[in-house]
Amino acid sequence: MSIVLQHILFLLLIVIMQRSFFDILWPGFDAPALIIATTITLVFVQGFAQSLRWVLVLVFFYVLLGNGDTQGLLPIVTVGIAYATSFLSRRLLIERHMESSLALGLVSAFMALGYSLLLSLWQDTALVLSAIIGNMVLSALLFPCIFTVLRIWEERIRFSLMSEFRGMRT
Amino acid sequence: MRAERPFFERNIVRATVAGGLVWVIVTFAPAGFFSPFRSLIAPVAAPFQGFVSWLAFETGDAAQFLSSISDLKKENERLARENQRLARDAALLSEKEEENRILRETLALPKPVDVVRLSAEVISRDTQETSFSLTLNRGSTDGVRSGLPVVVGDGQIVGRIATVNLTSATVRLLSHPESTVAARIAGTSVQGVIRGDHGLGLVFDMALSGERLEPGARLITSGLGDGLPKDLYIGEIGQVRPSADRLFQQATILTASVESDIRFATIVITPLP
Repeated sequence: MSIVLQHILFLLLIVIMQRSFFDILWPGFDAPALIIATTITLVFVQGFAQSLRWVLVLVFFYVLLGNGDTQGLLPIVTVGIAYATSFLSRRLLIERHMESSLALGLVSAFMALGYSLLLSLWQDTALVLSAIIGNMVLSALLFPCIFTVLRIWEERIRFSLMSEFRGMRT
Repeated sequence: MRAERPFFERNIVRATVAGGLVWVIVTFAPAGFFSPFRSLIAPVAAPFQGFVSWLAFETGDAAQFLSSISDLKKENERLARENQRLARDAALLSEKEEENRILRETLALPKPVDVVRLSAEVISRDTQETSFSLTLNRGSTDGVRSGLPVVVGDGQIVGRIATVNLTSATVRLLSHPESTVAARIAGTSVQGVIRGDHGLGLVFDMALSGERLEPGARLITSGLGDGLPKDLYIGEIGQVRPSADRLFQQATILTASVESDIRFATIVITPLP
């Protein structure tokens, strides 16, 4: 299967999980925790320039599997999260993955908080403290899971590409 | 010294251009712009959404069961009382139904229109809007069309079909700010409009100021003008207050079902007009 198709299927699966699992299990959580965690992971693993198109595909799928109403806030916020992650990851110690992952887990939690606050201002709705804290915890917990999955997957892709390259040389 | 990147290769420029472009498309795209993409993706995603949502509901049920073991005795007693009350109501209603049938025959009134009830399961939920909307696993292949009422339990209306795909359909819940339903108080001629209260619940509005709104009175659809069948149960009158201009009365509505707990729903398929 081509790498592009693998990416598309992976992102579609992420959106299905967000819409049909997390949004059903915790309907009070405003910020899409899995989308935020995936955006941060994509940028951290692939770099901003490489991951931007996949972040946009992720947002596109998220809008498509919604109810058809306009959702103007999410695209801006998601691209903002991608840029902020890129900005921060350059300043974090990349060679120390453990510390970086922990720091980005925290970033993921605060991005969820920021999203909830923005949504509250955008839609003029009240904030529920317990829901915000729950949402932050969920984002922080989801990040290492998505990070591990994406990291292993990227390694496999890199390995298969190197094998192909070696095969071409011999 | 670090070399300056070309202007269009700077991350901040890329982020601004990409974010702005997507925002413009999503916000200003004409109605139906995403429909072809949605009709392509939705049927592919629907079976997976069905499985994943089942997993979510089962997980939620298991967690709720574990946390509510201590309350089971009290809940059981409450349900036993509720059951007795409902049995009494059912007996009264069956008597009324028979009486109604005889009166209709005597007055030669037309028979009520037969409707088909199609059960459906929630496969995804949208928490990004001011209020929730749901996606059901029934679509145009099952005869679903937009505007049809969606009910839960024994017939409490919770929303209307907003968009229809091949094998799925989205429901705009009554609590959506743009949702309106013509309603009346059962057994009276008091009429008004039900509308969403910014995602917080429902409001019975536009009732004339001289009318009597009793807390606890049952609200049903009036079937006037909005294409919905009449006599679908909506909820009960809660707190009553005058409207801002004092010309009308408003009331909060108490509903038996919690929107976020809906797992199964029934689509009421009415004949085409």
